[in-house]
Amino acid sequence: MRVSVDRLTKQFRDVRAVADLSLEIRDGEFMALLGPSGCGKTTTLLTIAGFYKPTSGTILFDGRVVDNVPPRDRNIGMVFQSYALYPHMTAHDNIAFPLKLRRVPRQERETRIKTVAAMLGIEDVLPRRPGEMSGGQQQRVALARALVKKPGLLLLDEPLSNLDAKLRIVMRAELKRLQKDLGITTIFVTHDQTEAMTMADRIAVQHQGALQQVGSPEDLYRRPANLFVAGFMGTPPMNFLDVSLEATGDALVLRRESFRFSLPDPLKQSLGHLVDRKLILGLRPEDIEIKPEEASQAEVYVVEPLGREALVTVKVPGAMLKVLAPPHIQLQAGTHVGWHVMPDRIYLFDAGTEEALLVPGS
Amino acid sequence: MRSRNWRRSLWYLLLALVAAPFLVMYVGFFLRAFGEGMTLGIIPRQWGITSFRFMWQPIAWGLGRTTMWAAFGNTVVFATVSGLVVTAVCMLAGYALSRVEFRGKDFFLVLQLILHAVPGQILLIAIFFLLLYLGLLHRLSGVALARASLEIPLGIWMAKGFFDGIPWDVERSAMVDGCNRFQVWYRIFLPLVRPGIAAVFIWGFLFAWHDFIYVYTLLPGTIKLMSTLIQNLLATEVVDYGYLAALSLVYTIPPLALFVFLQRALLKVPVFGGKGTA
Amino acid sequence: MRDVLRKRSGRGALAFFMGPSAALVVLFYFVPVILTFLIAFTSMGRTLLWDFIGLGNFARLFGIGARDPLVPRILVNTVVFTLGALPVTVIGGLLISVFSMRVRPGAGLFFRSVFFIPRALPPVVWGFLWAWSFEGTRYGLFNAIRSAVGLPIVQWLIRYPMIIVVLANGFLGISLAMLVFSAAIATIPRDLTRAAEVDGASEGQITRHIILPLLRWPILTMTAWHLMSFLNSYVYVMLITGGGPYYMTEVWSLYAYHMAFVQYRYGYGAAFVVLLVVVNVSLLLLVLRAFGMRRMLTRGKIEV
Repeated sequence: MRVSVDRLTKQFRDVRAVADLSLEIRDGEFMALLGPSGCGKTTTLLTIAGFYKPTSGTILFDGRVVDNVPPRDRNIGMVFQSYALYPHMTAHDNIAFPLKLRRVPRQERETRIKTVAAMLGIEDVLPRRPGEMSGGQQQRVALARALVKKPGLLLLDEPLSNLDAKLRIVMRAELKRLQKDLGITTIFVTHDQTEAMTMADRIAVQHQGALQQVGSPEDLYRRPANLFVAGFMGTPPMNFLDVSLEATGDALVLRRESFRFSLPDPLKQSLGHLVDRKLILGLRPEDIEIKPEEASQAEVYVVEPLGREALVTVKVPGAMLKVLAPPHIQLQAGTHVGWHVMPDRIYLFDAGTEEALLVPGS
Repeated sequence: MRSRNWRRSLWYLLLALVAAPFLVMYVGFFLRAFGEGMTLGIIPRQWGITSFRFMWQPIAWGLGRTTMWAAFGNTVVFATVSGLVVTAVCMLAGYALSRVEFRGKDFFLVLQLILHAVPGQILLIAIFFLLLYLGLLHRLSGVALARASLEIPLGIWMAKGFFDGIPWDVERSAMVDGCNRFQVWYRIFLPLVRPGIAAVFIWGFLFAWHDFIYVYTLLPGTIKLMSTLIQNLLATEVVDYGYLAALSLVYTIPPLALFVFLQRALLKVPVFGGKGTA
Repeated sequence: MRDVLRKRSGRGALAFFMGPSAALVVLFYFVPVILTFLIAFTSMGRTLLWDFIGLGNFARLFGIGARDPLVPRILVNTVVFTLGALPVTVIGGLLISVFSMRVRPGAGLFFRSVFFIPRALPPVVWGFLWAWSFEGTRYGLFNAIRSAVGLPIVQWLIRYPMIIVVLANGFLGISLAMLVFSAAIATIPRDLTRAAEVDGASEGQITRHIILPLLRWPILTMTAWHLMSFLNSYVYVMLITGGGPYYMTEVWSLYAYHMAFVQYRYGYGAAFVVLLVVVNVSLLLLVLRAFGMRRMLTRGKIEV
């Protein structure tokens, strides 16, 4: 099923939860709605499901306007954050419930339940009630209930957030595999960028009700459209430094107190018009290199070994930088070190509009 | 430490002083019901159940006679009808007030609080005429209906509270699964609030069981309930207090048993796990 | 939003859910209030005839022209009764819940149970208990005990009728107030009182500076609640003293009842109820303003 969200706005009294959102979800696509809590992503999902009416704008399924179709007639499956299993029914009856309401004949019903239960590996828990299942089992039953009616669209509202860390990684892979096998159009709401990056075909980043950017995980990571997306995608997050662009002689220099960074020639051309503007310099932690043998005003503040690498916090005049350093570099808190950035790895943002002005590889 | 112990004894003493007259009343009440031939005022000479003779003997009532069982049966019917009305009406309204948005909803909810705060018994004169014109006066079911309406304001808030406890996701889930509002209510919500249904029913039942003024005013002397029977015997010239104490016990104990049942039922509320209940 | 309801889940669904309760509220609250006002302007008597007499009942009530000599007396009785039972309930309930939290848990539960019993008793039985306990012959409970130890019999219900009905109603109120206050005290985090204790506060200081301020809302609610309750209460007075002796405990609402159902002067009785309704509504508006009812209401999260 193809889903089009066309200039959707949703207003609750004095709160604008979703503002002028337009989004195309292709048939069979796995789309993640990503954003911090309160960004309007769940409101968007609930509006697509039909629980909320758009204040303005429309929602189309396969080109058909569905604004006045109640949720039960939209042919959607939905898994909720709390799973929302009916506590008074067994797993079997939970899965059978949507089929019973559709008056699917008993025999076909049982076959379909069996199929979906086998697919999700929950045959053993069918006679049990939700209270007697583990979180992971409840999640699978909720998924089975959503899928058993063969919906055209699957909506997932933070379905992994109630699982423990280990199970979450397992389910992440399984969900992705299942979605590809079934080829079902899926919209997935999450606040966890790792989840969105690992599972989705495309990600729509929402912030304060407004859509920031839509694109593949790679796109969002490499070519963020603005400061918010750049800061939201990636762990540890990008470092930001307020800088100004100055022309000294025939060189262009990013300057911030004692820190100076001369732009290489190719960039001079494209950024020439930005001289004397307030900018924000973005540096990914993995793009900064620490040189222990050099000394500068940068001081190692704290070192957090992560195993594969070490997360080093470096204090530079007026700011803290997060740097991912290879573990073989021995660093002591308090020592002064040098640091370098590849000129082709820098991001620049307008300090006023927060739009990206320069991303690597552009 | 010593001063604290001393002060604690003071609390005990104060509580005991206030509680003592009531303890004497309650104990005296039991002794009167089960004792025969009182000495020193409240100490029975021997134990017996002669005070309970109304269970097998008729009771003088005006110029005729009646039995305790007739009054007991009437009380059961009256309280059950009233309880069922309260339950049905409140379970319906409680759902809509908890889950459906409509114009006037806030007004209706505040109105229920106001109506609950104003004791309905002061409107008895008008209720008398209302039932008279409706042809319901002097009828057990009609008075039970009027009595039930007294408990509806708070019953609605109770029922709404129980429905409020069900996460919105469960309702959304049911709607995605294909339920309309009626099906959500009937197939998902009612089974989930079963303890709430019990609580609201017992609520309506108890107050009707305890009722005196409606029954006394709106029903004729020929239809007696436990409350009017006891009041009538109390108003006679020669009062047999042991007999009345025993009768009061038989009247009081069934609802107390229900109270206990109510507490048990309330403990069995289904538990919803996880977040996302908002 | 509203148009959605009309179209989808529809008027029908709403009528199905809200219809019965709305009908009963209209029938048994709105209609009776209107009826009361109408009857108050008639000389409705034993014949049940609608003879409108204008303000006649009210004129009599306020002592204009033919006056009712009992009105000042029942007015005073009502004030004494209400303002007497109210502190018994609120202060008594407060003291009992605070004290019962101080003693051992088992003992506390025992005392709270003793004071809760009135709420579990039917009104006639509570009335019977008081009428029998304070019966003026040696068959009454307290007189039996008195005469057993050689003290003379006291005519309680003739000598102290008002005190007895105030206490009977007040202790009925205590059972509810105590329950509410105890529940509120139980929700105060233990760490809060522990912190105060570490800071060197005595039990009395903890009560005064921590517990009482936190009980402000329950105390206000219970005061407002029982003020209205006692103002309208007449059933217990009717059961214990019947308003007597010689109208000494006859309160406003009981007088209305007696006018209507004993003397069959429905119109005159209704006039008393009308004034009571007006006082109630004014009080309620005051209370609602003070409490801000809006806080209790929440928004729905499905719009279909």
